[in-house]
Amino acid sequence: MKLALLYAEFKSDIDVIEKELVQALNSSSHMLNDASVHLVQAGGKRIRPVFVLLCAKFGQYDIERLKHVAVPLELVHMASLVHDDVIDDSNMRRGQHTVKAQWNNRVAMYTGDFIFARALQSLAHIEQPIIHQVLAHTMVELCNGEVIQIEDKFQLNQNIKTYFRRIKRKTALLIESSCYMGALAAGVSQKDAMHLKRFGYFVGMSYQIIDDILDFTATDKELGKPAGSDLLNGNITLPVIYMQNDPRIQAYVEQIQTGQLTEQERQHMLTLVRNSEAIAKASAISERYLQKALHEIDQLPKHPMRKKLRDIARFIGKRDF
Amino acid sequence: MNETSIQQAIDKFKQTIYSYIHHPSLLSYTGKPVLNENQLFYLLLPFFNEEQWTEEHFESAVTAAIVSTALYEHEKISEQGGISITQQVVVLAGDFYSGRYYEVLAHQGNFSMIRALSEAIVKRCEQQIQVYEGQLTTCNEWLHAMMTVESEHVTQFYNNYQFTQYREIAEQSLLYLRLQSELRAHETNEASLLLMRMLEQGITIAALEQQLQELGNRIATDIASSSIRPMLKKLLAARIEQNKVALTPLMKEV
Repeated sequence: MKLALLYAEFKSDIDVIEKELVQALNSSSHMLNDASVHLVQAGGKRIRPVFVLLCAKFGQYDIERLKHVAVPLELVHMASLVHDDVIDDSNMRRGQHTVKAQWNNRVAMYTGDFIFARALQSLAHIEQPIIHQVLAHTMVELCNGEVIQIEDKFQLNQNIKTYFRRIKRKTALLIESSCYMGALAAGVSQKDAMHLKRFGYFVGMSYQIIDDILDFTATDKELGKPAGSDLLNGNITLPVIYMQNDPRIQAYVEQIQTGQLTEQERQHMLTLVRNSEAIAKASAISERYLQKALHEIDQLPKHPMRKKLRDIARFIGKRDF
Repeated sequence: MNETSIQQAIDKFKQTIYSYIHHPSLLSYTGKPVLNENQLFYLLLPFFNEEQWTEEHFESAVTAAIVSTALYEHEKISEQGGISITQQVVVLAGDFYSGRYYEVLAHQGNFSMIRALSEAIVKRCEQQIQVYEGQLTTCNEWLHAMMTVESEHVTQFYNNYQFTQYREIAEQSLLYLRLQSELRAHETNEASLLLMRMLEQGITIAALEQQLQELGNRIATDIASSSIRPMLKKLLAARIEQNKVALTPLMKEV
């Protein structure tokens, strides 16, 4: 199933969110406007806003209120990507030049800070302390995850638990928060909100593992950046952890670290990972998280949105790029 | 409140800020974050002048100071190319501090301060980007940008708590101190990117020195005519007298 089909029911509300995103990023600076429009137009799956809307359906759904939850979450995600591109020295994202590539590192820093601030301005329309506490905690943990990622760079002999802790903070928490904040803003019961929160966490874990697999299995064109970028940046992801005892992968990591990996060697490295058992093993872990997510949906009261949540969770688990 | 107790209050303020943004991993890479003591002084000015000052005022002032520290961290990032591991951590340090100020205010349910500081960040980032855009042309526009960078978080804090009578003195004084630091730093080729861009755009050192002089006179008049307590007036005046103040920590290009 295509993502657009899954989103069809929310089309008009997603349009509201797109408009609000553009409005939230409006600035007196031409360069900031250009950078922001560039980011919004670069698209993305908007999975965080969609999870906000889906989970809010279990309570009192009001798009005029929910847009002030959905938009900030997408903005926080967007801002963190702008800063990540500075950290990783990435010039391309989703097939487009990054802010740092189009302008420079400093402009990217200001753009990210500006977007973070706009996110909080939008969320401040919702005067519910718990919602702000959830987002604030998520933002702090997002940074902690990134710090750990830097500390773990090129550490080939790290264990799976370390990896899970890292992706929890880096990705799963923001998706978990999208579900939880959507539920809280719509007044969903605490019990159901907790199921939705856990659903978001499990889906987020599954999503990031798939992302880490796709970084090896998808093409440069599909990814909009060179395949294997994670490893090229020193980020040891699940497929590589499963291959950590393979002397060939050890040799590639050393070559990357010393900046000696040629394009041909990158292709060989990709083939090595693609043909290994590591991909299937990592997929199995992703599937396990997906099943846990589906189990949380089963705990929710009967509601048409349960099917929608299942479909989106499955889409995430099966997506091929 | 005398000079000693004011310094003690600033020291306590600093310690609280450090405790709120303490992060062992970040500390090992980036060291203690830079706190601008002049900004801290003006954030506490209403307290020094014995305005009604509660725990909420103190905590909000702490968050305003954290915002400024977060944004200063990001000014350390070099303009071009890949960055070192230390600089990568500096990016995250700034983001972490931003998360922390928000976390503190979220726990207090202080939405007006969340709005106020978000507005300060928006204005400051817009001004800093305009430095790159060439949108700023006149000396006054450049000085306004410098003033926003130095004092917008203080201004927003004052606005939020109706301490607006201190706004002009704080804004002008922080601009004065920054400009003075920049001019001194320029003598040793250590001026910030902001001053370098001003000079590239044709603003001369002589013109800036003239502005500094006029600004100093204006501040002296404003202090004299304000309703601030006499002892504090003396301290405020002393703070802006040339050669008597320490340089504000300028963020140099790394």
